[in-house]
Amino acid sequence: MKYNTIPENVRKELGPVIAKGVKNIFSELFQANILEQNEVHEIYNDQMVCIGRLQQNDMIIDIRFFFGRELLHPLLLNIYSEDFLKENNVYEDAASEIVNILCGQIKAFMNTNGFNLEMLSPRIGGADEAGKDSDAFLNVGFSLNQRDGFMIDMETKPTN
Amino acid sequence: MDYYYQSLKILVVDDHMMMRTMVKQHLQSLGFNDVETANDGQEALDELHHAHSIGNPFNVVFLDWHMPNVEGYDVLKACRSKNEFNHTAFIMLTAEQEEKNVLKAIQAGSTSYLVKPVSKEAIEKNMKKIFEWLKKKTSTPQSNTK
Repeated sequence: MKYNTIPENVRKELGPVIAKGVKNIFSELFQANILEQNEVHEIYNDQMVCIGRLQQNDMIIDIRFFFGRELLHPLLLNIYSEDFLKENNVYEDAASEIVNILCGQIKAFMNTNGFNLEMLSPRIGGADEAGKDSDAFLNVGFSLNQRDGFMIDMETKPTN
Repeated sequence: MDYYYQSLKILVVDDHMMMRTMVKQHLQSLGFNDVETANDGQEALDELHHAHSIGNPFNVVFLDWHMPNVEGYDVLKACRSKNEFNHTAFIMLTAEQEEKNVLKAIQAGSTSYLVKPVSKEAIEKNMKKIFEWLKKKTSTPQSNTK
């Protein structure tokens, strides 16, 4: 069952807020050109998901960033050496920071619309945690340099 | 002036390796060579106290807000409660962008506030402002009261 207490007018604006935020993050951090895609990006088994959480008394919002290492690899080569990329959890770390920044932008937007959300630290999961069967109410697809696709989705849940 | 400006001792505190590395690389490309990093708030406090105790204090601290162990905001409050960090500039560099949190940080003694993602140009612009703040500070005698 879908749990959604976000008013329709706020929900309508969330897609553009996410799209603008993601483009801004990739542009400022990596000087990378991100395009929004109409079709929802397919989730592959070798992909990872980084989940950011916003929470208030009665509601949890999960923001999920589905990505493959090949998306971040060329971008991270501007920061780290190839050898360093092989040996460290740099993909997970980078994805967490991207989600962290995006969650900060979404939280600011939501809280100016009457919410009282706090932000929790992002965590990394497997692609099996969500996808086609999830209760996501919003999916936004992107591509990097018209090649590597990735997706952001959002799901709301009641707090226990 | 340039020598002193680029010889500022800087600490970058962030629990994300990518942000620590990027900010350090940006600063180094701007000519700042004395840049160290800390992974969380507790490590930052340890580094700040150690540097002060050996007479080589940090001039500028870039501080993330949300971190494990001790949050950046708590590092800021702890440091501003002590005279020894009166001449240290604290720059909050965080994903927190709500006005209430910006005000909270400024009231707690943050010298400047930058919202992530941040470009090298924004860091450079901010460092020039911070340098002016430090020049004013060093021309003002340090207070003896807490």
